[in-house]
Amino acid sequence: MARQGGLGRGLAALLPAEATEPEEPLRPVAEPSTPNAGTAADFGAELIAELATNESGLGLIYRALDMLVERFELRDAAIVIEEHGVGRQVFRAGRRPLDDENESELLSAEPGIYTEPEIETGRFDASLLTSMCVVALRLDLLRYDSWHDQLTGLFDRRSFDRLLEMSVARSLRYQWPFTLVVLDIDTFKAINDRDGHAAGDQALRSLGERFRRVLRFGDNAARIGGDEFALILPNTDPDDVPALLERLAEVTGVEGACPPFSFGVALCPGEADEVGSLFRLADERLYEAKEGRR
Amino acid sequence: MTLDDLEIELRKLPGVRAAGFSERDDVLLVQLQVGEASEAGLPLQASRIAHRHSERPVAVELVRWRTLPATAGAAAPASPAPAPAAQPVPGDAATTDAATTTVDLTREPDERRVRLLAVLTFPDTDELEVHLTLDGRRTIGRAAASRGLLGAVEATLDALRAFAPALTLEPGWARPIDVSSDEPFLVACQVSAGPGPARHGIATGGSPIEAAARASLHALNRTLARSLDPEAA
Repeated sequence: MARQGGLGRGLAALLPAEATEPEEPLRPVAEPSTPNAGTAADFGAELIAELATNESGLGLIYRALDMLVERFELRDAAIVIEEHGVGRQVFRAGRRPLDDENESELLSAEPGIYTEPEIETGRFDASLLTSMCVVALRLDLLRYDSWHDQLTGLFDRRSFDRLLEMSVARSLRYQWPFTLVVLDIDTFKAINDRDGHAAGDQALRSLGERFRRVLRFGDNAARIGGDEFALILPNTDPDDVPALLERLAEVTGVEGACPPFSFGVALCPGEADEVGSLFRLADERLYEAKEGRR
Repeated sequence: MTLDDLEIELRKLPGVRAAGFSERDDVLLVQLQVGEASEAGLPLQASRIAHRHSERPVAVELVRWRTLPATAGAAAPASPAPAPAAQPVPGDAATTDAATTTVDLTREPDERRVRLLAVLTFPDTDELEVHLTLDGRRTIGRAAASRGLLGAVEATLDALRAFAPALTLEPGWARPIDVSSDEPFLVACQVSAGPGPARHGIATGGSPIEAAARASLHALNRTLARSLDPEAA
């Protein structure tokens, strides 16, 4: 809950005024601190146990900050991490608003742990905590990247397979219908041959961004192959899909035109209630549509 | 799709340094803090990402820390933590975007003026909120978001009524003014504050509705200074 209890307090600017506590500057924790002094060993062991059991990297970072705040009765604790792909990131837990006057300095602070009041040197291992939080953030970034297609930002094939399995299972268990759409770009090879692969990549990115803008919360879009995409649309009548896809071309503010595409749809559980047969049905209809366009 | 995915995706946006989440009623509030060199399209990108991840209405507040050009007598730009000043650092300013809207939180403690905190839109409920502050007291004005610029003016006047109950504030019109694409939005408006000629205001903003809210304050600045509720002090 640190994310809501700590960082979320930055939103206090939008909420009715509350009594605020006197603010003092955050102070850096001296580093390196002496491990195994006082409670340092216990604290380190607790953190390692958290790392082993916490499935969420970000959750571990906030848990570690919470533990710091609780154990040392702090008003505020923050950790600054520098990591490839996201640059310098500040994580914070405490009782001060995120956008207080000191925050601008924290945003540009060197990586490390900052607390208020300052924790006596040696009472915990700051370097261990920092390293663990770096690992935790890296885990979440890797997890995110492993489920998403780098070019379009949509889910990748692995994510799609899992999502489709879950959707079919849920559909059978609760009788929740969904429509599977399989779609590919009609002229992708021609775009690559004529305009180069950069133009092909741009067409894929453009389509991905259009999906993101048109789909509802709960719909899922994935890039499942070179120029192949799939959509999982809960509670959507297959007859409504053409109108939905027509809206892709109407989206404004996306770099590059919407490439022409063909698609096939299949309804679960109405037309197929198994992953393989459902996908095959949608795929066959995609190729029928493609043939029809030739 | 988890909150972690949302946070990671937001933190991956260029310039984002910190992210926070909170809930108010049925709205997911997302706050992002960004560095000085963040891209102009960041508020819109962040709003789209947040909307995609949430079933509920989402309001995105974006705090952009900037170092303003030094003025005579102003201190040097803020030094990195530690040792932050207890008082606001001169030459430092924070800008907040709510939904696709920018809000200036520049502090001028000696000047008694109504300031704009946030302009929020809730498309699902067709609501537009304008948050104002005066001497630490905050008010919220509401209007239909579908009324566009005039809705922002109406919501601003609605919020102002709490500070100046004696004034009869009525919206007139609000119009965008064409500017080049790389400039902020510019809006002019007309409002009335009781008998006498109508007041006109003009202001820029990070979005048309924010510019309209600012233009309303601009139109009424002098009138308000004379009519502010002493209780608000």
